[in-house]
Amino acid sequence: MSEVRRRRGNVIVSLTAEEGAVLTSLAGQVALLLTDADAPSDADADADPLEAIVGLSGGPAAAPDDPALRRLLPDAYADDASAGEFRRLMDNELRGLKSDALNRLIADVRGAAGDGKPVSLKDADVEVWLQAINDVRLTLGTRLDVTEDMAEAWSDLDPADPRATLLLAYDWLGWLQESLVGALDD
Amino acid sequence: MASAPTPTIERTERPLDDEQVEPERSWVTIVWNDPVNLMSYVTHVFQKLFGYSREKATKLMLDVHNKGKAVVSAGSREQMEHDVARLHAAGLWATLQQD
Repeated sequence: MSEVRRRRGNVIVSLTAEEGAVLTSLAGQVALLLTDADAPSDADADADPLEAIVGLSGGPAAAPDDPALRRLLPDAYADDASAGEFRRLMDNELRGLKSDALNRLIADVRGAAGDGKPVSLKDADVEVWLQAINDVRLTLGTRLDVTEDMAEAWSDLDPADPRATLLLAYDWLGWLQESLVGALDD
Repeated sequence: MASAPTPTIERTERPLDDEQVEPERSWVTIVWNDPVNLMSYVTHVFQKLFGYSREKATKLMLDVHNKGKAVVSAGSREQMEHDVARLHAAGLWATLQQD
């Protein structure tokens, strides 16, 4: 079973090999989603040729079609024009920040764990983990259409339902995130 | 509807290099409720990003949770864009608008 505790200024996360594998697999999929789907295209009709020459080509102005990606990269403004302008300037940076956090989480887990060895994290690392785990939960939550009072729906779910495994992972990630926030507060 | 009096428009001379500065308007950053983010995490993000006390961060988190949204910061448009970008990086659902 996984465990999170604080020891001598560090936060120690113990994961089983399976848990580590689930965590890195899901984080890898979200990182892929961020870099792959809806990636800004150089062929954007409104691309500024000067910006392209100096390598500053902006991101897309339109919100992504994928609901999970839209939740990871939400509109900053209610009106489309301002939201588009903000997205054009900030989208690449935000995708990069999120991918970096996910990849650091993956590297931390793979680096320490192979055989379920505990991961020792500084508080700054825990912040990166929190960000990455939250993005995995946002993605799973959107895919699973999670609502605030889902306990009832979950208990009715047929164990053979393919969503059951994802719900278990979603639940466990919630526990892990909650434990990490708690460890920072200790 | 009553008709408005015709305004008298007077052109005033300005030096050309005097940059036209928009009057400082008040913008706010709003965080919206969503079913995924943990209450403890949202409180933690408010403390970390804005330096709020645990009490203030908790109150704002509860406002988001119970009322569906809360104003978490106010200032210039530029500052609010910065706050929204940081909140998006943390995975919170945030927008900015004029107060």
